[in-house]
Amino acid sequence: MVQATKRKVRITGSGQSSGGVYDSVHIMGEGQLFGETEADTFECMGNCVVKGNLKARNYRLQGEASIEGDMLANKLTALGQINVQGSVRGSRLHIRGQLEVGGSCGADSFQAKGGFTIQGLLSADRVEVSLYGPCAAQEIGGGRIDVRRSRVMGIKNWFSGKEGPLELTAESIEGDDIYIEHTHAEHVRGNHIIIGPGCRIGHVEYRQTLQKNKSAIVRHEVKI
Amino acid sequence: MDTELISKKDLLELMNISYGQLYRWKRKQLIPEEWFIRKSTFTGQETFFPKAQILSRIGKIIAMKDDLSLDEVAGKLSPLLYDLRLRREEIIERNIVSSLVMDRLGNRADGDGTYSFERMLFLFTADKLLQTGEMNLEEGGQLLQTLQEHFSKFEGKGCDLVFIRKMGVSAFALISASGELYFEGKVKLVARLSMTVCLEELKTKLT
Repeated sequence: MVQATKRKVRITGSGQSSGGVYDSVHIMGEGQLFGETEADTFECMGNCVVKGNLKARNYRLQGEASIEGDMLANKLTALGQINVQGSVRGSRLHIRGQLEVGGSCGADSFQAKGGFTIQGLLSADRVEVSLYGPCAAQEIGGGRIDVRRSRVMGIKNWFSGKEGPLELTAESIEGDDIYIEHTHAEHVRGNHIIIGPGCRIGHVEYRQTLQKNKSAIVRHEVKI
Repeated sequence: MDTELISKKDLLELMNISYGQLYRWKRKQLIPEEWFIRKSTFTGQETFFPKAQILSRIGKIIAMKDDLSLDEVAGKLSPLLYDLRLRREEIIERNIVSSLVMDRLGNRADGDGTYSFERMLFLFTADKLLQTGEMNLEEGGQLLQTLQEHFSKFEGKGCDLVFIRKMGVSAFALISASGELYFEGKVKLVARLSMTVCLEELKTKLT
């Protein structure tokens, strides 16, 4: 069988294309893709809508994207806003800005600077979150979990004088090493847990060590 | 059927694994989503697993993970994510595959005299087509061979079984579930079965 060479899509300005298997998709401006899309590299500067699942080995975004399906990206770098109706899977997800996921989100390494809402489970070997906005996930699970409030936002709030809801909310957080700040969770379970300032936690279960900041509120703690 | 459950906490302790590993395996789909059963307990939500299945699965993963990468391990585990094995008598007794089909087609059990879930699925599918009278026994053998050779290539993704006949000569094909197929005029499409549906039917028969 002769394999047809994969095509490239380039949209500059405003345009649309059908889905399919492409070598690369470049969008500058505003683009719409109708149907399931697969691409080796997917780059978008501007606005892009994919009506269907998206599979990309290398996904780069500057701007706003909306995927009406599941997303599978080996490497995802985004600056701006991503809206995924289904689930997100990948190996390295690096997001600055806002992420909205309807399903769950899994990666080897997940790094977010900004805010996110994940309806399902957020799981990664390494989860790093810098809180620039409100973050929420139903569950967070993984190896190392690091949640910190960004310094810059702290200073900004200082000036504007209002304390926004700069928090991470999750039903449960489970990991081997956990560091959390400004987090509101019902359950936190892990081996080494450090609970930083501004946390409100229902139950903490730890195996080895637990450190608590003075300003953190923990209702229950158990060593297993 | 009530299966014995084990809580996540007990599981981690019993198998001596970490949260990170468990989540990683879940992500790599070594542990099927359905096994994560959420239940509320007096301390709030907890996750439970079917005990026998998860213990054997994790035992396998631990045994393999030192030599193979996780993706390779995923390939080794049955794509159906089902570890149940039944003996020949049980299969007939529980009305999964009729004794006639077991006699004629299912004479090749694995070493310990049991049938894997995958084998059962193939036999069940063959039985189903035979019962409708659309296929004869000889073709049944052909069907089993096709499934055995190619079914695993779909890696657990849904696929359809297509059974066609042209001028009395029969042929089988497996295509991915959403694929559309058109034939020339003389080809008669005898049956098109979704393997996912068969799998679900078999699952309900087993539980």
